Amino acid sequence: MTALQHPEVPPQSAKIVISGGFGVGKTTLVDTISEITPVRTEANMTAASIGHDDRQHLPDKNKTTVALDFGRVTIDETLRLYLFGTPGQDRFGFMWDYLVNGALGAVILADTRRLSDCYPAIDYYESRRIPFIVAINQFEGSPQHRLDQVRMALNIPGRIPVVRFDARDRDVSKEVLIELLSLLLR
Amino acid sequence: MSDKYPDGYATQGRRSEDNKSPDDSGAGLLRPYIITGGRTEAANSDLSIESVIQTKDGFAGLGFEKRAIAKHCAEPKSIGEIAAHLKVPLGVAVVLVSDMLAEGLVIAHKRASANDTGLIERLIEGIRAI
Ligand SMILES: Nc1nc2c(ncn2[C@@H]2O[C@H](COP(=O)(O)OP(=O)(O)OP(=O)(O)O)[C@@H](O)[C@H]2O)c(=O)[nH]1
Ligand SMILES: [Mg+2]
Repeated sequence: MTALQHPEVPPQSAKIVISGGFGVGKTTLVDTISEITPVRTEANMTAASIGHDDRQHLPDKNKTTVALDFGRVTIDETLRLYLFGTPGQDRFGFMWDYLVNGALGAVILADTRRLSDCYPAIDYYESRRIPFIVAINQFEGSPQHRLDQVRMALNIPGRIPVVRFDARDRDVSKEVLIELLSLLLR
Repeated sequence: MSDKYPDGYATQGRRSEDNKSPDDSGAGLLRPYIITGGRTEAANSDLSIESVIQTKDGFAGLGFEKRAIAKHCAEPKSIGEIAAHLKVPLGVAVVLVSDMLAEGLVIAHKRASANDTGLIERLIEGIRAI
């Protein structure tokens, strides 16, 4: 085997997570950006409630299976970006700590027809001080609110970017990721 | 009017940080543990879905799954890709790779840090270029 195939260390990896409510475009965004067909990985985990005596004797503690969206962008030979859609359903919330661990930041997708669907994601990243931006996906019949009005409804500070985009458009979706990364440099 | 919420927002606006129920604090969140092959063990805390793995020394004499992982990771692959390729749940891939790391069969790279300005800039340039 050549040296190229066996570098001293495998490429470094960075992760950005994509969150938001049901059907808001998470899979579409991963698909639009990823160089590989998004992998649909199953996460089969058992949440054991260590340190919580009241829950320790439940028969089958939250054993569940969920499909995850997972995409890849090769930046160069030594750096890769992985995109990863968090499962939208509330009942998978317990997995988020594991899945989000180590992420550079999050893109929270929102649909103005049902803005409240993204509140749990905003609460989650805000409370853990994980950098995030909000990207508004425009659907058929979505009200065209001004971004400052959306920001007010979401109750997030001015330093957090709120952008409009289309998850089906590659260039616009790239800009959304760049917006998040730029936030990390501020 | 700029001081008015759009229709329906005023009553639905997100609660502010200090207006949350104690259950939202995260302190009571369930921690995920992994089960595989009858064994229960915590996931290797250094391995996440995006951890990139590469085979060190070929794959002679390995069992079925580990040989599959060793072959797949001749070119570097993430845990997520390994799980998808083997068609096993993420937790199973984590445990198998944890074993292989302990046995010195594969190597893993540390994840990127958000504090690494140069790295963030490389990511931005890289995304622009695709
Ligand atoms: N108009 C419009 N449609 C979109 C956009 N993004 C996604 N869609 C469509 O919305 C539907 C749902 O998108 P998905 O990407 O599956 O949403 P999701 O968040 O992964 O959904 P769940 O995984 O089920 O929660 C699909 O039919 C997409 O084609 C967008 O930016 N604009
Ligand atoms: Mg989806």
